[in-house]
Amino acid sequence: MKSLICAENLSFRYHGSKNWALKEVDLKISQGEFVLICGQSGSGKSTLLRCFNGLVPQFYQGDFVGEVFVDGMNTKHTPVYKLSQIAGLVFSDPESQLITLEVERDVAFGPENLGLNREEIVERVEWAINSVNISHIRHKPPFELSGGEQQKAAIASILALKPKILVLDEPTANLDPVSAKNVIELVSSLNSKGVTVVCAEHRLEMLSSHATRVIVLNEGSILMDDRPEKVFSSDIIEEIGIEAPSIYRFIKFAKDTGVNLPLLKSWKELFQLLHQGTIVDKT
Amino acid sequence: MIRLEKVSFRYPSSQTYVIKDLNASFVAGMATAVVGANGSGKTTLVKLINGLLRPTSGKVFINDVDASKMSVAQIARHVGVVFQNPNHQIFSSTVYDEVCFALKNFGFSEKEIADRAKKALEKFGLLKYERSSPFLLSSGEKKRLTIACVWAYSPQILIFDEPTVGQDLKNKKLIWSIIKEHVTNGGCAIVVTHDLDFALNFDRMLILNSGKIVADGKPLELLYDESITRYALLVPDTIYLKRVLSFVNYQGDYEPKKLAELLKVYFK
Amino acid sequence: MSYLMGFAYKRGRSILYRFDPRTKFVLGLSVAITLSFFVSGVLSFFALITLISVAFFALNLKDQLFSILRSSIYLVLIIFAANLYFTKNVVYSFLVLERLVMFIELFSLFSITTSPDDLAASLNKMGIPYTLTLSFTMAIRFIPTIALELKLIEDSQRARGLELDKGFFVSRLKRYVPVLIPLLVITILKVDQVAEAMESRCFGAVSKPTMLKEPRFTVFDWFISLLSLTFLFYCVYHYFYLKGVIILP
Repeated sequence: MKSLICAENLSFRYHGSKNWALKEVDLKISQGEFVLICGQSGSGKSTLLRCFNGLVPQFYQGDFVGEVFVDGMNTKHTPVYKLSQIAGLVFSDPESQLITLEVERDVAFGPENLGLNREEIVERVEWAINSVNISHIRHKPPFELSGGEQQKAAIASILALKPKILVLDEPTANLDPVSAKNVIELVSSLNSKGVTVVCAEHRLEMLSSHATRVIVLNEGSILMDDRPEKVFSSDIIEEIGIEAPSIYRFIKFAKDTGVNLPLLKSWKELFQLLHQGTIVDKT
Repeated sequence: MIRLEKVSFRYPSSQTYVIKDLNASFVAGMATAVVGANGSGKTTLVKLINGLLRPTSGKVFINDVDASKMSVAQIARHVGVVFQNPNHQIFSSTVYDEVCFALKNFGFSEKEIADRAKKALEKFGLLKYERSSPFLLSSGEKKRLTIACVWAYSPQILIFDEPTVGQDLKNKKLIWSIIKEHVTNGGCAIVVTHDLDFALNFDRMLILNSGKIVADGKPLELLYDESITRYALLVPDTIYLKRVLSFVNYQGDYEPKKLAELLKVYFK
Repeated sequence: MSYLMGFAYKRGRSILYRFDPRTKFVLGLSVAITLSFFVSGVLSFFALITLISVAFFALNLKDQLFSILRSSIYLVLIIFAANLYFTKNVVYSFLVLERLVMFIELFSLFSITTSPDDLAASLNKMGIPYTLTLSFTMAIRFIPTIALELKLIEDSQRARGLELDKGFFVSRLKRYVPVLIPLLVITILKVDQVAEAMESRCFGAVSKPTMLKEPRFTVFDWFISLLSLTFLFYCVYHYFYLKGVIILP
């Protein structure tokens, strides 16, 4: 299957910086995946995500080595507005992404910029607003919305471009836990409808149950690229100071000691299992 | 050290009360976590304590003195607040000057300022950046800097507003150790947070909902009650780990291997 | 922030909201020009001001009215005093004062009842470049955001012992340096974030973007616009070919 995103030997250094933000990254992402990218601040997560729609190297100058292809298009030579229709980027500050005085207009901003005809714009705006469930706030200005509502509006405005991939850079960084959960569930539902998701996050606990693949970045290089249960139970994660959900490590140790537990994604699930006594104690 | 008596607050332009008839006291030697959903009044409570907002009715007492008789600057000498966003306060040309700012405002002597600033920078691992611009620090370093700025003038009461947001594990542990040290030395700490995992460290937790205190007790006990979700709070997964441990009568510090052994019995 | 309350857009459904911004513009401009140069009359102007003020109350905008009166009181008094001093003519000075108050009220009504987005859309239609009108609406959109950041910064610094309420002019400005620097830095960072977001939403893909909402001129708009222009031309005619300025009681 052809990859939607393909990075070959990707290295990048920001103009004026001594250190390389990304070092020889090789990466392939296919249609339908839900990829979680984790790493400490400064590990290169944000830089990597911006490579997927061409902001790096077109908006951010620097030394760019290697190639990145998004749906077959080279990100060095294809204009950002073309790449953004395949890979839509959602940022961590919800407020800065909404630039007009009415949610509906912000959702229309993308299609308007593409010069589509009115009917098409109206149709896309309706679809995006309904996909994200913000019809009740469509006429409100950004500063009257809560952080969670703002982020949903930002996601809607990106969906209006009908991208194949949703790229999110720490979307819940500025949100409280309940709003964060809402946004993540929205993203997960979009993924189940066929949108490929690449998400960089600190809140691993909430995302680990939705992700199909976890990529660990450290100082610009990929340290690990595997299924969540493999990555979060490894020792490497602890060494670089990432707070992985502790359930995965436990499941690994359980397996090693001959306790065959199903693949649990939270302590809650284990607790419920024990409480229900689904597996009966034979003694 | 801090006492709120029947405090109510609303903004002059609004009819809705953000804080309603609140009574609370915070004593020396105790660290309290204040949790609640967005809009429950957590940040407003902080501002009522440090004088940035004045109660519409009721009184705030700081060390038994009526806070309405003190200016914000006077209160700040005793109540140190570390706000959420370091970018809202960093402005000096060097890290050293940044740490000295509050010290200068409170009238410490030149020698004391130099002494305290150096100690603070050392404590938070920022001595090597002494002469650098604070704007060039990483976000984690900026956070440590803002804490250092408050720690330097040793207020009796330390308040943190969402200290763990966006911080890595190392910084979170540092923040907790500072709080623990402060209360062990007789100070009082109030931490507003929506990170319930972090709140589990504390001896006392207050749950705020629609401007009222709806719960006051030990974090573990309060979070064991799943009905707290009605306050728009998410029960952290760590609570279920603790429940699993108590279910199997696990003793001592958590170790995955040990737990796995204990669970063998249940999963044959 | 409260100074701007009298000019900030407030959503509503009365008749003024339904005019196209261009109509309101033509109406306002005609009225302003005629009243400035071609019509005069102290009491009539006073009546007009009262009428406009009543309009504010009728539209449920009394807070906005008080806000603009509060913010402009010094300016108005200074201009009145200056005119009195230089022309020594009480009637004339009063006329200047009345005209000023009238313009402020009219401008305020225009601002309150016109959404910046609609205004920008009308300006686009009239040929003003998209980038310019977008900058205009974005500036307005970000005012509350920047105002909030300013408040948060003031709070943070006051909690470190900075006393912002002391001093006059120069010393007050000096005290504000720890507030202005973070504000500048945060604004610049925000600008960067906004630019990234706009790039990611294909800004600049096409030189003339399609608009979701197009401003439309209705029969009613044509009627009011023509009426205003007729009135204006009559006054001009009266001034140049007949007796000069129309004096009302």
